[in-house]
Amino acid sequence: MRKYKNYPGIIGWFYGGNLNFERILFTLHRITGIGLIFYLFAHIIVVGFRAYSPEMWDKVMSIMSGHYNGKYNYVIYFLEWVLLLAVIFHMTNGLRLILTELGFFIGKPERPIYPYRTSIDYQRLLSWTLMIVASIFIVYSIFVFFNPLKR
Amino acid sequence: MRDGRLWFLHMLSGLFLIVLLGGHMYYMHLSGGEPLSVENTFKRAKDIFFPISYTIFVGIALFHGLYGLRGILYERFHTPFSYKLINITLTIIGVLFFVYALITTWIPYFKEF
Repeated sequence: MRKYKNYPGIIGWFYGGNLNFERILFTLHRITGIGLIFYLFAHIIVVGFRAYSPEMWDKVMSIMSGHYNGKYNYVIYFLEWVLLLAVIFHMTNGLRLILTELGFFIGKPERPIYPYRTSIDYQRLLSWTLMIVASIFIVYSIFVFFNPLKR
Repeated sequence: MRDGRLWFLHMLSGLFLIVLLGGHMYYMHLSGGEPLSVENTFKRAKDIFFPISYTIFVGIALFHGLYGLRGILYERFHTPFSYKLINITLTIIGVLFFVYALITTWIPYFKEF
């Protein structure tokens, strides 16, 4: 593999450049993305068991599901909630990435007159807004997942 | 140009996933009830809406996820040979999983248990 002196590798996800809010979101987006793609592979395999028979589905779900037929597997149940957090974060941050990629919320080009403004100044509001939206969904998920009266 | 189109499709698939995955996660995890029970699962499997939407959903999700993984791997392994290897490997993985998902989604629709 060709080596580049200025290529920091995976460690660079965490410190490359400036460790600002968007850098943290970028790193979390990658980590959740990698987690979700490997989860998707496992999900396709597990869900595929319904093709064999209802008995097989029942057997697999009673082992693999966090909440099935009124019974809880608390470890898997908690991991399902973590999965939901990853999905909520990845979706809201993905929306931010799409909006900024298409040129929204980054301001218009302007002359560099002091005090300088960068696109980050405009983008930061969007970042915080979407993370607040994500937080609302996360709080809602806590009420649904960990409130026994709901189920 | 080809990469530009793929990147655009990546964004577009992301937008679709916000709707599809959002609905899926809400129905499966937040709406309450027993969506995974044998009765509900096989009832959905017989409703033409679900096999069709699952087929579209899994195709979009696999493309979006594997394209994202490709970007991360491209960043880590940057030689023409590794690019080719990454592309071929991820395409094979994607096709295999898609075909498996397709078969296991449509069997319960056609088969009488």
